[in-house]
Amino acid sequence: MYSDRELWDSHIDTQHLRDMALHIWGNDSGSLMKNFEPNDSLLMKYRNSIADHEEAIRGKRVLDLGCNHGLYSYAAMRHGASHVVGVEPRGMFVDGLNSFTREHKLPMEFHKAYDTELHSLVREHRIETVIMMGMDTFIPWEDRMLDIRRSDVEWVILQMTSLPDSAVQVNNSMIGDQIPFGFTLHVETHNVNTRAPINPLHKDKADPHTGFQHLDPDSRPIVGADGGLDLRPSVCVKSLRSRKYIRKFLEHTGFVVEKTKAQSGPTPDPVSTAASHGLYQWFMLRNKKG
Amino acid sequence: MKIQTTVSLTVRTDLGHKTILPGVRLRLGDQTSEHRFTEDNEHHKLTVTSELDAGDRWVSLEYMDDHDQQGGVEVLSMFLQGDPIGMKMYQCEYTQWSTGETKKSHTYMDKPGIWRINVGTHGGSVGFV
Repeated sequence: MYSDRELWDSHIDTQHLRDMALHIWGNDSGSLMKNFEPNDSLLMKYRNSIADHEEAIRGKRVLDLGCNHGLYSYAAMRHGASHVVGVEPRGMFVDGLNSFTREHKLPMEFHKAYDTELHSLVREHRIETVIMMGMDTFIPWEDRMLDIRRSDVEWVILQMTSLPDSAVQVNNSMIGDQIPFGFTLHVETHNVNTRAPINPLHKDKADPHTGFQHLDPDSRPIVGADGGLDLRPSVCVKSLRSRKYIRKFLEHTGFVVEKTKAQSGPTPDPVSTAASHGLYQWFMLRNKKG
Repeated sequence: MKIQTTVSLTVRTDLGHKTILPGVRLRLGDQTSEHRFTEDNEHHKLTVTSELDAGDRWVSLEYMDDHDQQGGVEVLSMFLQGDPIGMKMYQCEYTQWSTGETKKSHTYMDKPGIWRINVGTHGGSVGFV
């Protein structure tokens, strides 16, 4: 049994990552990547979303929905995917990743698109496996799962934020005081994170170059009474689901759960509230017909 | 632990009714980058890289001198390790030297002074995550 780091080191080429960063973030990425080391949270996501699911990846045509900076698309390719299609609405990432892919002649391609185009993308690219990492909080996840159910896709790999079936385990600062078990929970968040507001409802407001969305690129933010930025809850809505809800949804739609694993405990992560609270759950699902 | 950090600011000058084109200095840790504008409404990208301790990290953009006939300077965008920080740019403050007044969330310096933002709390949201 290899450790997460041993698996990483035997599959991931750090020089490739430096080149990816250069293509995406430009020369400013040099300092970021100079002493790059994968942290515990990144290794956890790599292990549980990619490395442990090789039977659904090796030799398969894989689509990574919401591929972000493409690291996990690249990891899927390194774990044997015959071809990887990354889908991401931010052109800054898509352009950089395609440039990186061309330079290294890798079996990957990236498309600037939203999740709503999933049903046509899986047909067009003859996709056998779909990876969705952390997409459930940003998109109408159920709709995309039904798209997959109706397609010829064989496998789905999910990294979900799943609320445990006990309120005690959830930090109230994250979701407020009420936790409706068995249902989805919509939480308004402050739309000040450059990564968070990738909202299909506001795709026309994205920066034409980077694809990043801001509250309103045509006007200044509202300044509050104390002279500071008004951080009222705004347009970014996250959906969180309980484990019970996810389980029932998968049963109802007919996906077969081949593997599932819940995060064993909180993992420090400066970006992911879910990882910091220990709320990730991974699934490897078979889209069984008949 | 030292973290090598690169910050870029896109700035422009706005001469308005003033007569002198300003010069600005971007500072991060013990490293600086300077630019003297040569025409009105000129856009310029300043970049600085510095080895910093983890935790709070202040980025500042200041006028190179306090001559009161210098035009205004606006911060248009900010990049941390190449990633646009977006709306977080407004979690900044501007202190005008002549009055000592500090205004939050102002990205336009109409008089000589210093514009500051703490990137420490944003540092984790860039790069491969």
